[in-house]
Amino acid sequence: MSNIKKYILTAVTLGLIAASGALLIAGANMITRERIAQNEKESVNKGIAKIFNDGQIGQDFEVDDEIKGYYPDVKYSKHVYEIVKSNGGDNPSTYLEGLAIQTTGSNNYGKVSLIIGFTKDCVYKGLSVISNEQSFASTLKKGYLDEIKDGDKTIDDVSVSCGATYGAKLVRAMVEEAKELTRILTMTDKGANNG
Amino acid sequence: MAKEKGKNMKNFLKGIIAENPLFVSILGTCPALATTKSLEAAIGMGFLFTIVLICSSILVSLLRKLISEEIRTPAYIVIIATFVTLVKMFANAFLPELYSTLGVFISLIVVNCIVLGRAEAYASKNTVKDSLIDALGMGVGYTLAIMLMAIFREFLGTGGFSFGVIFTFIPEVSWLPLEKFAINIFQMPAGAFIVFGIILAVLAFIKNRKAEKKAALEKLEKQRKAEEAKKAAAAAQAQAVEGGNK
Repeated sequence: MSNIKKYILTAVTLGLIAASGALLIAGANMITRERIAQNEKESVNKGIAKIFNDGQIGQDFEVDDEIKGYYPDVKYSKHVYEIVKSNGGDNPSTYLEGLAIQTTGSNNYGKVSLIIGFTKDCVYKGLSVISNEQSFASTLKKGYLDEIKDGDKTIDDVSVSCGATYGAKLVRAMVEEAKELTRILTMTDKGANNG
Repeated sequence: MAKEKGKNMKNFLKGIIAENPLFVSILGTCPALATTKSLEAAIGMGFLFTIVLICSSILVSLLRKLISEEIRTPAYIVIIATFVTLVKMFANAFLPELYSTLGVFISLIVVNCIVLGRAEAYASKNTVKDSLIDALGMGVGYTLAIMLMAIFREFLGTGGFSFGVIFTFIPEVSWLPLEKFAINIFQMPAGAFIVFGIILAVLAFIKNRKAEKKAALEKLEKQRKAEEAKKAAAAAQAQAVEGGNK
């Protein structure tokens, strides 16, 4: 009988500690949620600005079931931003410069979130790391994949030995998917609204 | 009162010098090697680590009579994990650059042996006040230790220091007088091992010298005492001979 009482007391104590912890975390989540979302948005905007220096963000949309209908294998791409440029002068109209695709992927070593930019002709513009939980912020060598910018090389030609092979392979897969998605979206109405 | 103050000070200082978790106990080396690329990152890591250590030590000490022997370790892990999650969320919200720089190493505080070690070895057996002072001392000691490593690594690896990159609330300032002579390896993991090894070697050298000095002094003292005893025996013998002659 005393053993049962002891077991119950032990379970209740541990349960209470866990419940208090959960409540604290829930409270902290309520306080920080908006701020974290705002920070993420800012870092996405910064990332896009880094890739498309003078472009502006036009429409943006989630990679939803409609897009998945065109590209069922889509795995990493989460959000698409259309990058538009002004026609200049007094002309208020804009034209589509390219797409910036927010991608998130993970492997055994953690998660990586990137913004990958392609021009409307599917030429790689660059990528920007939004968050990197794989290692001490060094998964990618500076300028990794830059050699495919000129179009001399394809993604397949690029060496994956860029500091952390696993991270690089994941990034390469994300870039490949983003390229395919750009190709599909620029061919369909969805990505060519401003074209 | 003065005795109490002295005890508290001793309790606080032991974490910084005599029982420094990094340089004496060699605990928490993984984040110490990974987050000491820059002084700012080290300060940030030390700050977050100290908060987790203080909060978990206080709570463990408060609940020490309620937590039974059988569930001690899981209970401590839950408590530490809760505080690490809170710290992670607040860092993500209010110090996003620090959050992205430290990356996975914030989460890894959960498994840092210093935090669990202090909860198990100290907070679970002592009062809240003593646990708070101990945690503060250990936290400050760890922060100072990783800051020392970061000073060497950043200076040798970049040729100077930069501020305001991670703590964006202060203006960005760079002082890089030896940028041309920067040795890249000190910014890499190998550099962290080299710096850590050199610091440990220097500390061991100082400790050994102190021990040698102490041993030499003790030997001298022993010799002095033996000589004194010899002299006293000779004097006593002379006195006895003199007494016999009389």
